[in-house]
Amino acid sequence: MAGSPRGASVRARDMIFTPLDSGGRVEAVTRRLADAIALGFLRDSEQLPSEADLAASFGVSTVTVREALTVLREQGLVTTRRGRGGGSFVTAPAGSADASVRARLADLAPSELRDLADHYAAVSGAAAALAAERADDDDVARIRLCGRRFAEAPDAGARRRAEGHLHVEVAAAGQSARLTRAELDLQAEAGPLLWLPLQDDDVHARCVEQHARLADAVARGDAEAARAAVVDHVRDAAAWLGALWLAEVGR
Amino acid sequence: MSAGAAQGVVDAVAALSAEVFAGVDRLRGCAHALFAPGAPVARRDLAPLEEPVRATLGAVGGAVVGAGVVAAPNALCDPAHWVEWWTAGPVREGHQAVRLVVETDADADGFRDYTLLPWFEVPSRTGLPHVTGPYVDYLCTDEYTLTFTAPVLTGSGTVGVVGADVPARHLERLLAPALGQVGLPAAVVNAQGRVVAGNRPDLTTGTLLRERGPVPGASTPVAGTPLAVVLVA
Repeated sequence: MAGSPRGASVRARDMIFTPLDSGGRVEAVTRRLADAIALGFLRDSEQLPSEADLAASFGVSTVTVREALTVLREQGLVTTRRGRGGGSFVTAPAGSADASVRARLADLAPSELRDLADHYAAVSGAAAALAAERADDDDVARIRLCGRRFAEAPDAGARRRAEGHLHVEVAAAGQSARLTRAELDLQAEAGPLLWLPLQDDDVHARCVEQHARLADAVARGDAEAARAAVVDHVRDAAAWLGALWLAEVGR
Repeated sequence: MSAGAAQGVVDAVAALSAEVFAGVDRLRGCAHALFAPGAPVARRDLAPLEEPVRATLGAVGGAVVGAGVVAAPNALCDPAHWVEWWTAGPVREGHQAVRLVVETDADADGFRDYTLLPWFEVPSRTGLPHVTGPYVDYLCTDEYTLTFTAPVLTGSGTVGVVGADVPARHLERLLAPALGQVGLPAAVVNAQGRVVAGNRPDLTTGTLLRERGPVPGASTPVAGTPLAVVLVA
């Protein structure tokens, strides 16, 4: 697998079993696996690599891996079977992913959340401005189609997919491979958090309106209006997450 | 003199396109042979395509860096969507062909519906070969690319498309000599007026010729493609 090119859509999956940054090892391992489960890159009843392999991939001790698996079991994301045919298996029935994303939210400080939102707004906003300058009619039609799919999405998962797809289409319309890759990387890293608010129907309705503003700005070539539509969109999500943080941590 | 030089660009684009589509057409024949009998085709039945796909890579002096087959939804009896695409690997591994891995489960978060994208949609609808781009190929390679595709047609309609990828940067280099011969600002453009290659810095690949139109009467289509050579005002 190493070194093979892969569609952007599975890049995030390949990032799962790579070395972690130093510090707070157990939380880092837990978060990495929980995110992968929340994003659907590790599927329900899929078997995880052995503790030894996980330790080697992450660059941590097997003790750290075992502690992380304990946390994941407590969160209901993993079950472990001993003996032959044993190992750790993902348990991710619909809804449990949410709990792990909320747990991850609680791990972040509001300033970190703000930083993440700033980064995402910068990349997506710049891509939107370029799209306004460079999109042709087909690009605009695809962006509007993504907006419709988002508006009509039947569940939270469909909303997430449509949201991610729309921002990738906008970046591609800007003719920038670098910004498209940056958008995809940020989505892989922060998608579950950034899209958590979408399950709220009021947030969803506001996003529908922001997407329409974005598409209109791109269609008429208004770069600053396109950027502003995205920045508002990201700030809205960040504010909702911030309020949730205060509610959860204040409990 | 510039009319002659512009024709030189038309000829260069036509020759390039013909060479890429020759490879695509060979692939199309192989794919058609698999689907034509009318029996249900499973993903594993596409295995005989690997060899002709690999043979297509590296064509046009290495300009073709990717090639493959993409099934129409539900043309295969197993997964509803399937992408069988190979790319030429990195230089340090001797350009060994590598199979691309793409999310094809429609319910997964990373799934992208390729049926919307022009390289699939246009040939499926028109029954004709098409050149898409330049565009950012976020589905497969994340590269700025031109994709040459042709539909695979059987009695039951379009069962998929076959195609080849040429990175924009390769096309720019290949067309630069011919474009350099044209004394006036000139560009190869696609049907949307987007520059594929040009001979001035403000006619860089990707530029959309909106307000500045081509000189009236100075646009020459390249037969068999959606491309044209224009002299720019």
